[in-house]
Amino acid sequence: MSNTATQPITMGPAEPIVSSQYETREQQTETAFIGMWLFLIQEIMFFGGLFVAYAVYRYKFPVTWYESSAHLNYWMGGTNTVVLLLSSVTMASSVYATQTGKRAMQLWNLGLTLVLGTVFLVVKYFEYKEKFGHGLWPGWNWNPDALGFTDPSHAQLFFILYFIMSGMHAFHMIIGISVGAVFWVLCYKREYGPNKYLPVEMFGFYWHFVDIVWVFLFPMLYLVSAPGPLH
Amino acid sequence: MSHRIIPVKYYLINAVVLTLLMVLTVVAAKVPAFHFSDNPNGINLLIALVIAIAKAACIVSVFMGSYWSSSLVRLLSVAGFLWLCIFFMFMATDYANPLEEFGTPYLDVQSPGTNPLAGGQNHPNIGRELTPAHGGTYTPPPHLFGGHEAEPAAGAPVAEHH
Repeated sequence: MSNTATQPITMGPAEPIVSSQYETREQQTETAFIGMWLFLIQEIMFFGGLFVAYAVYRYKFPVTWYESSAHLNYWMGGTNTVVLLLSSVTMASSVYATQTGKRAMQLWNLGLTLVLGTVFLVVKYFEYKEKFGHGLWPGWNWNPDALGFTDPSHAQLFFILYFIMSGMHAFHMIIGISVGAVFWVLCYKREYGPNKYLPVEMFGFYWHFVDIVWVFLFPMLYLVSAPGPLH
Repeated sequence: MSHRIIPVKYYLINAVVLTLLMVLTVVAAKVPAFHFSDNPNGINLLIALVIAIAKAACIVSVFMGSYWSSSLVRLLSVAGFLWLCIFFMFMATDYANPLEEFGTPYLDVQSPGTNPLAGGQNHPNIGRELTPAHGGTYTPPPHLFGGHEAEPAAGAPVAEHH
């Protein structure tokens, strides 16, 4: 760390803290990385089941998928993709600011990350509301007759997968925003700084992972249909 | 080195690249001039997923810093994806093979023509929507099933394994 020589540490501990079970700070950092990646791999397994279910039914019912996807608003999905992408930039910048002891940059970027995450959920809310209004909520709200599906029962399957997959993603976003809010308060209390930044960085990993899931969900759900006007 | 600090410059470049890839994936899917195939079962989704994998690689490499990490961390960062590939491969052996209509125990529980959800109608090929790319109804090779004649009657077993 080169910044300690020139400027005083105003954030986090004055000296690096190495827990007793580690030989060096490098080993401690590496262990955190590996542990976090193992957690993310089990998250991949969790979402993997949903992705495989999607793949099987997409393979079975390509025409239905083609028709059903046209009922999703890809402008809203695209907006949310950009919002999440920006939030990943601010999250990564916040980690950088924590590592280099730039307090204002840390707080602003972490706060902006949480705001963008909330914007994502708000757009999602309006999307769900629109689907509900069109009778596309599977089950008791299901009204496919007005929508002209060739095969309504399998179209319902698409929307079941849509709501489960995007819903689980939104659930991860809610967890991320909640944990992020705690991190913001801790950052405000100068808990994290150049000598203690791993927790913030590991939270960033989680945030980026949720972004990656959306990167796959967006084309799979919104872009399967033919070019054409929105419904 | 584990105390790596990645300059914000790389994050901004990465954001521009990711935005361009995102625009590319929408253009490839939604602008008719760039739409590769009008077949519902065409390669459009494949193209979109390839772009998505490229985007994921950018996020993992730069935002999550795997590019600057140790070999072990880099290995872990692709392990989940490799596991997913194996998952898909084994699932494809169940469903994406010529015998799937006779062999999938989880999905094809309905006999032809008896699916009440589809108004009593089912495709002769048991739930599989046929597109022109499939070339119509699949007929199993006779030597495998001792000659697969006409469609089985409603409620009858789909095929007899020998």
